[in-house]
Amino acid sequence: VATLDARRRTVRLAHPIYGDVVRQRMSVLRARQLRRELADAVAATGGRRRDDALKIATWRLDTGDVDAELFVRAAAEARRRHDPELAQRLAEAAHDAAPTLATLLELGLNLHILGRHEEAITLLDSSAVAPADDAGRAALALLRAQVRHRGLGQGDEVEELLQDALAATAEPAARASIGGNLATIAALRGRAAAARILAMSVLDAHPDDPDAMAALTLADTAAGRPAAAIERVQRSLAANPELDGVNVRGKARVMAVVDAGGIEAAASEAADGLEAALRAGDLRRRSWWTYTLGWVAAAQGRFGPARQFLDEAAALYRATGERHGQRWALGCGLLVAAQGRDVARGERLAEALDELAPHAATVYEVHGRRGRAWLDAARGHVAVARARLLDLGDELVAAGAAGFAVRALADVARLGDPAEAGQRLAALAPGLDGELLPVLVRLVHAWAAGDAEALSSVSESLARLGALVEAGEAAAAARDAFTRSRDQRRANASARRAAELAAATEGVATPGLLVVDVPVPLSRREREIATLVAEGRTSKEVADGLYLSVRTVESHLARVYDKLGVRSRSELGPALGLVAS
Amino acid sequence: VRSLYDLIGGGPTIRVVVDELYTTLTTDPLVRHHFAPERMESLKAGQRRWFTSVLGGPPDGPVPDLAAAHASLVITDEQIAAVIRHLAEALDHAGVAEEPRDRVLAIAERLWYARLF
Repeated sequence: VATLDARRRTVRLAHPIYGDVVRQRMSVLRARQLRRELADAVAATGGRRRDDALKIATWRLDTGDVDAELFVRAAAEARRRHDPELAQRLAEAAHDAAPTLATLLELGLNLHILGRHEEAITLLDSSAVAPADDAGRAALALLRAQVRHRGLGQGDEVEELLQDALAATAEPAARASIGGNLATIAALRGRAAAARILAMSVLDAHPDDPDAMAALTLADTAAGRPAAAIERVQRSLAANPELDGVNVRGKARVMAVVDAGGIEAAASEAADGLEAALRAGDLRRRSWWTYTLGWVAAAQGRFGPARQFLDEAAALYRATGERHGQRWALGCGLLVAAQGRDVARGERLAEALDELAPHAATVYEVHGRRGRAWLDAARGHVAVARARLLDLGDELVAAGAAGFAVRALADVARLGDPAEAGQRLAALAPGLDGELLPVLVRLVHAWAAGDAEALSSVSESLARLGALVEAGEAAAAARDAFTRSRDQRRANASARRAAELAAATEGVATPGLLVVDVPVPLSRREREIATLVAEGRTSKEVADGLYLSVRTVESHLARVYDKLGVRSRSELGPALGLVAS
Repeated sequence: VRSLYDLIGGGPTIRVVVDELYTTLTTDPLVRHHFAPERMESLKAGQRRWFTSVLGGPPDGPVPDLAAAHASLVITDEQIAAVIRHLAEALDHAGVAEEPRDRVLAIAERLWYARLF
């Protein structure tokens, strides 16, 4: 244990949190006196170091000795260190002492980060502070737009606000950032064509504007051209490595990578992203990457991890008060639950979604609407489900979001009506690029035509791209088609392939996969333990790995033997359908 | 949606888990020297706020910067494994269901082995 003296020294110089602990034990007056002395001492040395402003301001916060300029710098520093509570207190003190545009923006931003969107918008909309120039006007308009869009889920109001700001702004850089944001919002709302025009007009003058780049990436992805999006990002990053990596390399791009057929790459990118966010203590990026890991796992057919990540993401987004993220994560969770035929869980998630008003941006709503349809299907209302999905597909096509529409229409086929889905997809197919989306279209057409060979080749393509659920469904459909054409040998081969692919997924129970085999009725824990034992682990190793007692493991194992009708460890693997190694 | 915090039973469960965890920690020769008896109540309160925050519970006062608090200590993987094992026992002691239990442990594993306390 470090000695108290050593700890005290560390605290004061490097870590305010420690200081808090120490000072909590002092009398109020003594602590306040100490803070004042510390602040004066650092100020006397000139306050030159980067974090000196933060130290001085924190110590002076409750001594009433407010220097607005220093406090606002300190608030920004606290915000960069992911301490929005402190940042908000500092910004509020600065704003109360001498309101300027800088104090207004800092306070509004921190209220937004803390999830206090209504307070933030009231403050920003009604403030008497008048920006002196175009840059200031743009900054204020962008923050108001961000709070309304991300925090309150508004759409039309936000676009109107930004249009007004654009009309009132002449300075080119300020116009570019407003235009880039307008483009992003249009793209998020699925209006790919409008988003592209707006983004291009910004990029003409500012080829590296990160907002416009992200908007264009998202617009292309929505429109079903993820490969074009990725290529453009790569080119810009090669030309200018200094580009804001998070916006351009991160969010919109990962969606493009998945749709282009790079599910594995997206998964590892997301894992790296999460690690970096955890290391930085950045809650917002952590939410985004956790969510991304969730839907990428869902795309891979790994529903167990998908559930965990998506639950965690929904909780994280709730903690930061970001409605768009909550609807995203809940909607994707609903899709996973419903495709896993977990009706109870699906209903819980659908209810949670109902409690949150919808978001104006389509991109946050697509998962949830697909999820509701799949939930209907899981309850047995398959026709209702297909009707919902056809509506969704038509809406998306009308908005120009053909890429999103492909998923909804492929769902229609997966729920039993490939003919209807195929008709609509035929019109979209020429505009699609990348690997995954065209293969999904081929799947639907092969299904509609009952073309066994095409189904089995599509199944292999999907498996190669990592979309194991659809790959398994395609193989099962191939088996049916081969059986119909009395090619028993290839029907059997397809059946084996379907079983293999189904076994590689986790927790998936779509109608297309359910026909593959009758699942063994083991509980999650039983299956987990049985699989580990079948892989050759001892009970002790399994117990250590799962943090259970050996006795608990043995009793689960006894139940597994009972259910599967086996008597030894060596019989477990074949009984579980595991391939012998 | 229910956060992990809600799934395990919220504040009351966290209180039981943290109490039980610290009871075991203070008797485990591998780690007990890190826990000064006179600071126990404030350590527990900080740990409760940390769990609440990490598991998606409602804001409940400042979350202690545990990474900084551990920065001056040399902590081995063996000690981390022991603490996670004790956490598993404490979750069982509090009657937390199988699935949320494993998820809490997975989070603790992921964060603690990365020294993100």
